[in-house]
Amino acid sequence: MAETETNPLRRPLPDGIVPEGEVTRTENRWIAIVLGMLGVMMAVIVVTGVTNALHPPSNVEIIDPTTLHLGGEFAESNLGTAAEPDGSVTVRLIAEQYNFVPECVRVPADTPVKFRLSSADVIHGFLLVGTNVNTMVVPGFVAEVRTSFNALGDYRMPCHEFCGVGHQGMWAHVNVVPKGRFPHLSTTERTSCVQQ
Amino acid sequence: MARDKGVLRLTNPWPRFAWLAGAAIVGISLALGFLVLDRYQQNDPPLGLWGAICWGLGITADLGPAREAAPTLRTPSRIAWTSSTLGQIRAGDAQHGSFIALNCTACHGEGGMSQSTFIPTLTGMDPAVIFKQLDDYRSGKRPWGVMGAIAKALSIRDSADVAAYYAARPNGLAAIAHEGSLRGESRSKESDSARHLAFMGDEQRGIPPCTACHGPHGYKIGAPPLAGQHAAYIERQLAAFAQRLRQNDINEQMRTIAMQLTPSEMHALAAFYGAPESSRVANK
Repeated sequence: MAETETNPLRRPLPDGIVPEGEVTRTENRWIAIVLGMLGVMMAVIVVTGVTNALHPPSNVEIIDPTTLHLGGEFAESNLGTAAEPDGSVTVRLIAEQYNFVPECVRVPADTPVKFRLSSADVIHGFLLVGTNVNTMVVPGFVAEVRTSFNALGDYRMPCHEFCGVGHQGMWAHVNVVPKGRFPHLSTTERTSCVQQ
Repeated sequence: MARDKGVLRLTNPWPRFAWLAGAAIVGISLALGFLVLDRYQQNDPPLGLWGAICWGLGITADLGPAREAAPTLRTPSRIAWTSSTLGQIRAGDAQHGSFIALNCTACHGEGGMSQSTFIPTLTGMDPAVIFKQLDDYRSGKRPWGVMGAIAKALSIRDSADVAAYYAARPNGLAAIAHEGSLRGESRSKESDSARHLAFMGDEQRGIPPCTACHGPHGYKIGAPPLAGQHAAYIERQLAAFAQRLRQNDINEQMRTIAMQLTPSEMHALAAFYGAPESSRVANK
């Protein structure tokens, strides 16, 4: 105790303003509230994550944004919807100032869809109105989003990451058609609903 | 007095409780984040333990891109705007380019001021544009008999030189754009819709404004200046992009836009950008 007496910072605070038991009870109460809040937040993250399939985009695939058009996955001949052997489809898109290419994507309903996007210049955003599809498209990386569409129709696909002076004109569509009306694609065919 | 009583003493349970609670929160978070949440990827069976950990860390090499067969590769151009390409363009020698340009005057006019409405004016053209178009003619990505033959006779170095020469010519496209003659054009109703397309685009149809890439609002490399170019040439190129007769735009940029324009819009835009004969003479 002698040591604490000499150290002015260690000197005991004057007691008696609030009874010590009361202080302890208040502290314990707040600790319980904080732990409860943490628990609720964790539970919300876990439950929504599992039930709504909400995942942070954790795909780290690197790609050179300046040479996308020279070959590889994002060459223009490979863009659009591709049919996979397991019955799912993969959609490949390029986001560039100020277009999505292709600007109209056709996918079948009630089918697993995997979107793969890359940016040719700056950061763009990929969002499908009315769905939980929402990711950033960062140049140099491949953004991947999985979903499936139950409702038919035309989904708007705006760029929601301000990308420059033409940003307001940058949006495209996803057209969901019944499974039977989706063209049967061989492994080397790609489709889109861009009017030629 | 309880506050200073042996905070550091082992018998005091509270520090230990705080450390344990902290460790438990970290541990539970790690377990949830790496072992539970990322196991359930939509449309796929749940991942295994190691797969989930790797996925959570962003390592997806084992899942990676689908390896299905790809269609026959079609590329729009051999040019990519890499630093080495930009270096080649910067190294262009206008002096040497002026000798090469003597071969161009027959069609593109004295100093690049074309007199034919179907042949583009090159005076004051961005050097990257000339460099890329020459390479596209050379590789046949932009098929055009005459220019293909001429470009094949030029080396990459020659292309950069002639591009530097035309870019440095005074009173050309760059100067017209700089003077802002765009806004002073005719005030007919048709050009109002063209003006709106040029400056605002059409957000209802997802068409970005021309000025966002072709200037003056924004510039994108490879996009030529338009003000002062021949209207008939601009209209023909828009139609060629829309009909996919011309496919040398990187990442289908112009094809995507031109496809959404109606023929009358193409005509109006071309008339809006194309300088009338009188103003071009005045600018000479």
